[in-house]
Amino acid sequence: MNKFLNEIGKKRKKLSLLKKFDIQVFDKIKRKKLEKKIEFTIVALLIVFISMILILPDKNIKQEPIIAKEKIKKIDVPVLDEIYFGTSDEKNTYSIEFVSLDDEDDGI
Amino acid sequence: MDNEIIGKLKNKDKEAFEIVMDKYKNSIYNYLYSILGDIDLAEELTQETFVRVYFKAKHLKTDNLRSWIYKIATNLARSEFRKQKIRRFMPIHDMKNEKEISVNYDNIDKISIEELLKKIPEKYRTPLVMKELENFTYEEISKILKKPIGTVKSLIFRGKDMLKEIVKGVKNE
Repeated sequence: MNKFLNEIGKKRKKLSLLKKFDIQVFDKIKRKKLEKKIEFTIVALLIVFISMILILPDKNIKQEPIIAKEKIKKIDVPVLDEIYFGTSDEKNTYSIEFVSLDDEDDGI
Repeated sequence: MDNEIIGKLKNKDKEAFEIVMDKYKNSIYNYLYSILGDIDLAEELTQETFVRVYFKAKHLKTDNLRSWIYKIATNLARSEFRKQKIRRFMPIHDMKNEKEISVNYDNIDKISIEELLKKIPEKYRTPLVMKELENFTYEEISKILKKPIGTVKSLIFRGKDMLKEIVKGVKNE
């Protein structure tokens, strides 16, 4: 078998590449270099963009509490002479009813 | 000489790269043709091999430049086999081509080694080509294919066995 392989190996037609092969390889290398440059630029730009998002303060978030403060109106409702029922959110509704206290309980 | 060239290659020296390409391009081309059996694909992968040599030289850790270049070529050929395997499961018309591959031979002398090798599964073909046609040692093949020496030896032995059967079959036709 080895003899056969040796013989057939010797008979094996040796292929040779043309001169344009080298040019094609260098062209591919050039193209790949360009691709790598583009890739690097895109990655660098993405990093800058992401870090800008993370580092720069978000204006919308800072403005939100001011707007919220403006919206909240405190309403004071007199309950007794010196006691007030206070609400801090006008969205809620409260009903206030008169309560009559018995004379017996008055001394608590 | 290799050490000097490797040093220059690592620094992306164009002249050193040209020397390496001139020295190995035809043998890599023939090697890839032997295991792929496709002349155009062999040329394309030879180009890709040298593109990788250029970009990966800085990571080169071995002194054996020849083995390293063959390893790149072998890896490229293997990924091509994997692609072909996937493709073979997809289009139906490829199955017709499979049948057309089995050629009727009139005379063994007229058959090229590549035609015979095509009939052996890739698993056995690659180490067999490396040993018998490219004259690598078992140790070198084991490093290139990342397989134990014992496995390499048995793959080559089985590959030869298969080739023997194929040659017998062809002679009887």
